[in-house]
Amino acid sequence: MARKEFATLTPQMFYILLALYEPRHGYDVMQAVHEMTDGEVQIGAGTLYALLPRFLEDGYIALVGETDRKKIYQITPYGREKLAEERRRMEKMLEHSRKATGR
Amino acid sequence: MKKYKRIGIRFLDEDACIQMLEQMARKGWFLNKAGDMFLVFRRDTPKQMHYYIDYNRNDPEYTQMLEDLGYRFIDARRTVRFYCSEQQLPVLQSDPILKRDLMLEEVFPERDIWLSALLLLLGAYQIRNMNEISLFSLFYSGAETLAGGIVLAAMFMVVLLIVQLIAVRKAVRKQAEGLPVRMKLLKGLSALTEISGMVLVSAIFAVYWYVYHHSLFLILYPLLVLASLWAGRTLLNRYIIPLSEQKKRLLRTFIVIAAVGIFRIIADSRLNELKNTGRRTSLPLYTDTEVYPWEEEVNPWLERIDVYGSVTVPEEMVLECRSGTISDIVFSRLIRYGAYLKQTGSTPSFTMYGRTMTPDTVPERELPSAENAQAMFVHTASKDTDIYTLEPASFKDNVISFESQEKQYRRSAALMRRGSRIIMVLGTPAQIAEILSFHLQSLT
Repeated sequence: MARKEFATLTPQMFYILLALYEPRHGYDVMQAVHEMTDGEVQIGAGTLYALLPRFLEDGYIALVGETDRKKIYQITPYGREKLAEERRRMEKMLEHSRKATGR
Repeated sequence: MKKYKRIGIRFLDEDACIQMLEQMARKGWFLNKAGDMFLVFRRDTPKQMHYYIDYNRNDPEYTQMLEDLGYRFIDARRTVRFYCSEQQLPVLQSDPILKRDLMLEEVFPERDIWLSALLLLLGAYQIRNMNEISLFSLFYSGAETLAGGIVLAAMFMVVLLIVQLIAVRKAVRKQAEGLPVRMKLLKGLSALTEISGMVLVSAIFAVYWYVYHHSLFLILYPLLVLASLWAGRTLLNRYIIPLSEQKKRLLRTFIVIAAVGIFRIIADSRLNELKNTGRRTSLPLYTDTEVYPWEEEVNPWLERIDVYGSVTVPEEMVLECRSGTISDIVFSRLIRYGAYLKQTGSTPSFTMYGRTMTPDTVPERELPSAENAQAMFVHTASKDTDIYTLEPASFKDNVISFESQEKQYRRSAALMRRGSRIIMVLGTPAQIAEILSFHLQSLT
């Protein structure tokens, strides 16, 4: 099954990319998301390690180093662009919601 | 103590699978191994155990991290990896959309579709063989029901295959668009494919059993498939690891098809050899299990009887044997029958391929204990390829009931209508009269 590029980012994908604004290794990403959201969003280890190679393949993130045999990733300009796109989409939704509900 | 549970389509529903595993643990059965077909459980003191399913490849960094986090690896089945822990830990796949994506990759579409295609190929080949080789034709062996079963199962599988392809394509498209996939439908299709596959395979095996009376095939065929699967997997795992799981699966399927194909080609080439030559000594496909006690020394002509009554006969004694296989059978049976008649004091005088056999040409031999059995033998054929034999179930039967043979008479009459000719009729005068009148009636 040929995999297509992500059409939209799921919340988990979104947070992983956010966490990768700083160079981090896998476990670090999970921790960072946990802290960033006060424990509300928890990234499963399986999800993270399924997504990292995909992000890498699609050019969203890049491998920037390795410590203790742990790979360190960071978001690429393309990844940032995708993230911004997602953010614009969400802002639009928010705006529509405000208009419709008047709040 | 061990317990096995069939996997089937469990992987399609991860939650149900985990629930089942946790229930088993509470009953004292702990998942120990995940094979291709079965989950294996071992017995221990019942306790609460949490299970986790993952679909990621084996990456050392990832594995180490899971271990550090407390997930204990149990076993992997293809890309599905089972973990457990005594404490409740976060689920491994926290993103439902991604999880479905990974799961679909694991389950669909290759495995079931290639399995169906393979079975279909085998089924089609089997049907072709049955029609091509009239000697093995089911319609002359009273196995119409089985043949019908095979054709029906094969047709059903064609339909299923098409429906499944459509469903899977739809599911993949939906999944790409982030829409929910109708898992129930896919589950149902998967189950149907398994069932019809089993029906098809059992029908094919039943034919081997029923028509060829040959248990070797029953064992060989599945063994061959299993062995080639095993060899394929071992080879792939050892030497071609970088291939993706899907490509591995494709290669494995290809290996199985090739193995089965080669097997059939070998068998077929022997069959063709048998069909086209007047002399041969053996056929690997089928061995006559009816052994007549007097057969071995029945005649100096018979050098050897080894395959379905086929004999090796010196050329000068071959009476217009145009088609080796068929005439061999006729010939050997005639000799047997002639010997039998002669022994019972009857006068064997019959015609075979235009030659008259007299008491002098029929050998003398000891007979089975059923004295004065009134055996008969009818053989009809057209162009030496259409063969039909009619004879009592056993030469030992004293009385041949007309009723039990009626169906066979009708069939031989039908053959005659299609242009076959009676080559030979043997029996008591009354029987011959009866058979001929039956044929004449049906002809007019």
